[in-house]
Amino acid sequence: MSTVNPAIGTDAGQGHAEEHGHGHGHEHHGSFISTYVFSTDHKMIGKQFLITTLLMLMVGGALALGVRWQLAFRWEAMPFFGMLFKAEGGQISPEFYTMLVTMHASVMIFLVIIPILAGAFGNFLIPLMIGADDMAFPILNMLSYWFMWPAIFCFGASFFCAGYGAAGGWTTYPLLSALYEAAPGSGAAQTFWLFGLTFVGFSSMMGSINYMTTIINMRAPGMTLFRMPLTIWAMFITAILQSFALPVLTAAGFMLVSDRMLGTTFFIPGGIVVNDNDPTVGGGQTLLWQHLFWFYSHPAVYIMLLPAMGMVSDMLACMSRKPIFGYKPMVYSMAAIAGLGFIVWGHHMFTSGMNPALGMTFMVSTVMIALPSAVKVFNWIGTMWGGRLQFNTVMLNCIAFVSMFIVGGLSGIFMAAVPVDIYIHDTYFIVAHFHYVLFGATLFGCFGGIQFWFPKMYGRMMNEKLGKLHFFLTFIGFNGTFFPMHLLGVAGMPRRYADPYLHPYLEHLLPMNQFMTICAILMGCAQFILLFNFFYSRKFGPTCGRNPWNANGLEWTAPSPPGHGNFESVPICFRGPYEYSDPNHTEDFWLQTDQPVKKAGDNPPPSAAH
Amino acid sequence: MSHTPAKTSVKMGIPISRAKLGMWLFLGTEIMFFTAFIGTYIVCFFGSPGWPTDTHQTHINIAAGGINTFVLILSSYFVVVAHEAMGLRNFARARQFLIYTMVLAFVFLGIKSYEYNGKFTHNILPGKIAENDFQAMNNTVKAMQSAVDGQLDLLVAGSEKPHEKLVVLNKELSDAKTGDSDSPRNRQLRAWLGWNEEFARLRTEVSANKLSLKQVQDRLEVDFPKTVVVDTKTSVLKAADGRDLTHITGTVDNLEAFKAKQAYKVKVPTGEEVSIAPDNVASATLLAGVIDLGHQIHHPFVMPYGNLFASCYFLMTGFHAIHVLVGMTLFAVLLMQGRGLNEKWADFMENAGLYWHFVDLVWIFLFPLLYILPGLMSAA
Amino acid sequence: MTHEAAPHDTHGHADHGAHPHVNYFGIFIALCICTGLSILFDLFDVKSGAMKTVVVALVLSVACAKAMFVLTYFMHLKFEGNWKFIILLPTTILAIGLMFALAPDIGLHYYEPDVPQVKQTLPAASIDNQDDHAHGH
Repeated sequence: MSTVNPAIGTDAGQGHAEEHGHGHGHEHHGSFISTYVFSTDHKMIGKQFLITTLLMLMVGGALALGVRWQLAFRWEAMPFFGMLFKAEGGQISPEFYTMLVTMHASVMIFLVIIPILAGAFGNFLIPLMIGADDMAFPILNMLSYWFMWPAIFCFGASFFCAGYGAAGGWTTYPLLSALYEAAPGSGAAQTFWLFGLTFVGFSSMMGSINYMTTIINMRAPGMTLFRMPLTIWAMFITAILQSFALPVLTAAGFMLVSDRMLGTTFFIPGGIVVNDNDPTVGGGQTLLWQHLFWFYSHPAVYIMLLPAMGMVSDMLACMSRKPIFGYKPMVYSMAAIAGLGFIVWGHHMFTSGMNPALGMTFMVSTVMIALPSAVKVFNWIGTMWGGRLQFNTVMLNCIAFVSMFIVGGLSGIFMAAVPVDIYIHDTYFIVAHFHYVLFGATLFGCFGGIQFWFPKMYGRMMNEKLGKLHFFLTFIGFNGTFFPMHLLGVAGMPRRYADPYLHPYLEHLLPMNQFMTICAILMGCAQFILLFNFFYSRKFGPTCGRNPWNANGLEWTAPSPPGHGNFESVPICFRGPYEYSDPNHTEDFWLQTDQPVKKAGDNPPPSAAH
Repeated sequence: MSHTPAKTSVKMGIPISRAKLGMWLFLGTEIMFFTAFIGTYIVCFFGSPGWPTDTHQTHINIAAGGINTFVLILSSYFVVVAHEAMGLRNFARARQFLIYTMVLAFVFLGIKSYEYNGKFTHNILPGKIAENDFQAMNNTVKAMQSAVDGQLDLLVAGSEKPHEKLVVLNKELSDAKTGDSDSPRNRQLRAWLGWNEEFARLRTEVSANKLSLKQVQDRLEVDFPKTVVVDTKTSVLKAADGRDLTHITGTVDNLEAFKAKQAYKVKVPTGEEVSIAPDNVASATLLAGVIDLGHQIHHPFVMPYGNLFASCYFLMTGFHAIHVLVGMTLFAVLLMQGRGLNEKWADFMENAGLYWHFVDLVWIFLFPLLYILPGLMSAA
Repeated sequence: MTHEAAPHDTHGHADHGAHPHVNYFGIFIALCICTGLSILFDLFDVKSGAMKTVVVALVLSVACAKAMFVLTYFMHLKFEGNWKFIILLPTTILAIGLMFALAPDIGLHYYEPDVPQVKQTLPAASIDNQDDHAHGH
């Protein structure tokens, strides 16, 4: 295209241009800062997000291993990581344990899952898949990445705060989070944590407005709404969810911060005595926080899932060499999940003392979410059915996504029912459930996505053998870790206890916990294979052409990696993205930009008129 | 899915600019942001029996709120006229109306800070309001404690604990020669001791649950006069908080005498009467120094759910004010272009205007919700 | 492509002031009248509960009317396409829905709240004038 900048642009220009991570004082063409650090190019921002979140994934994983270590080998000095908390003698104290739980959840949710989906894949894929040259607001896009760093700093400061890090859980329920004296982690650490949350919120906010604007107004000619890949639909719906739900959490976060720092009393009832302090003065209600928090955080569950659903739909169709089964139902079911997602938040609060009338309402709406979810699952299975399945790493991860999502979805139905939930609430059953959805579904989807779009990002293929090894180790480790949690939960083992075996009825669960911890360590180590594969393949992987997977999307018509401005000329879209194995076409894929076979009387295709 | 060639215009999407679309989406998120605050306020209002609605108590100033509404509406009008002028390429006129808008924004913030100031002086602050008698008395005791300790720190320098300083102070008094006993320093020390004794008695009685709030209030009125400020310019005696102190400091006749530049006697907490000459600045200062304690102690009052009310009021109006500041920044960017303002800024102008109208819109709802409706609800 | 997209963009909003002229001053006057009305309502000394509801509803509808004036004319929504509904309707529904969803828990209580503020309304016990601060100077 005419505006390709030859200095950065073309294949040759970027073939050798490696990304050196952050703060690596390596001068590149004198524009290192503008190319790699303060880049406004959506692809670079996407890669920045990806690498940052992968590193954060390791941090969050390490935190989880601390939790698992304590549950399996309680009060024993933790090897290797024990060095980091020498003051404890390498031991994990109860306060430290709750802090680990809190920070694991916060890091994984706010610094890994949400940014890897929306930030990394969203940024990289949206303009490429809709045939745009960049995001609508590139500078806003850059800011959305750079607002991640204050967030990371704040969470880190919370972690290393004098005393203990924030330990109120990622849900930060008041009063634990509202009163400084409530717990060792309720002091400055909690304040830092809340600021971190606010920064993540700003980052997501800027991102989602950008995505919506881009998807609405920057599609390539011919890219009608119902020719958009499901990834784009998912990103679009996610952005809508985020932009309507997140402000409520931001506002609630400001209320909580001002409760802590300015003396307001939104969430602090009067007359509460904490740690021998004077009774609190105030008239607020703690339930208010729970409502406002879950008003965001339940839609956030879908924010953490929908993009992966979209990406898996694309990958499944490609690797099955079949059109996606039921394209429009897929779109409508995603929209339905999003819409219903706004009216189900109360199912997190069944045991909170919420008004029973609300409990009933939320139970019904929650069970209804099973319908669109089932539509999606059946459509994925229908897509694979009778296809020519390519059992490569991408496909394996996608199949893992679908099957783990089924397990997580089914256990979710248990908790949607109030009577059952009252029994299993705050047990390991719920831990199993959300790990099956967030790790089992979302992260496997991301692993597949990395393998699938890596060639587009770096122009090289990832190693297939290492990818499969990583997949199988992770899959085995994952199920070994989380499947027994269902059993623990039904046996009545509560979450967030540093030493559950104080209760005699849980003593016999120790061997099972030790097995789970060993699986978790296996799974943790397996992630180094992914990192190695990622960084190794970026440099030494075999180079590839534009369309290594023979896929249909617009992104595969751009060079790998795409230059500045993405496409040589404005791509024109003639069909939907899932025309695989079409009998009317010679190849088993049909790029969205391929001109249809001319028939007499056809109008000439539209030109971009440039 | 369709195999028909795209019969499409080149441009996909909706026929507005990206910037405007982004702005509208952003305003959608802003609506949700304020929804959280306004929703919280409304449900807390209904969920808190006895929510403070009396404007005398809450110091809600309906006139100020009404004027501010008018100010914002007028500024919105100016913005829309400025935008129209931009469209007609009359940039001088646009600039002129933007300046009007800026001025009105400042007026809005000025009135707002006047209102805030009223809240601050009457201690209508979140977390500071007593919601039952016990808290009110406790607040008084706490305020007196810090006032007494603070005064002691002024009298006896150093970082020792209060009880150690008390020993030092007593020693200084007992060491003083009889001739010095009326020196300003010693008078101050004795005045402080009087305060301290009075305070200790009050604290003991409050903690023993012997006093009702009414009794504490009475005692503050009678026995703990607020600071007497002798305004040497107007020769008027009053408390630091502006209260008329004639009932404590003497009769009206005495005050008249004071105004007539005659010697004047004032009763201080130690019980002694201090004579001051009205023109004598030094003795006026002395008087203020001797009894400069009470100004830190607010008149105790009880306002159930006052803290929640103040929380809502300050957070809602505060975030609105922050939005006003952001809007002003946007206009400032436009105004800084000076004569360079041209059609390239039309988009910016439109979006800044949209933002400003939204700020206006928020106030349109905040005004009845905060100022009008609570009073109406309490009327019956 | 940036440059190629630009002309469409400018085309998209080249219609500044293309919509019919609006008497903004008239709108402004209407808004002022509405503001005056809401203040007027405040001066009513409403006694009965039913009347109170009516006046509250009136004040709120005046506020909504003002909001509609600002949205329709000042923010030019009258002249925009149907996208305005797509952006604003879900937001409005969510905004109103949130309040209704909060109401059963926060606005109403299905139990007797046990808070100092409620206790305060009960008569204070055992506080009498035992010691009428009999201390002279």
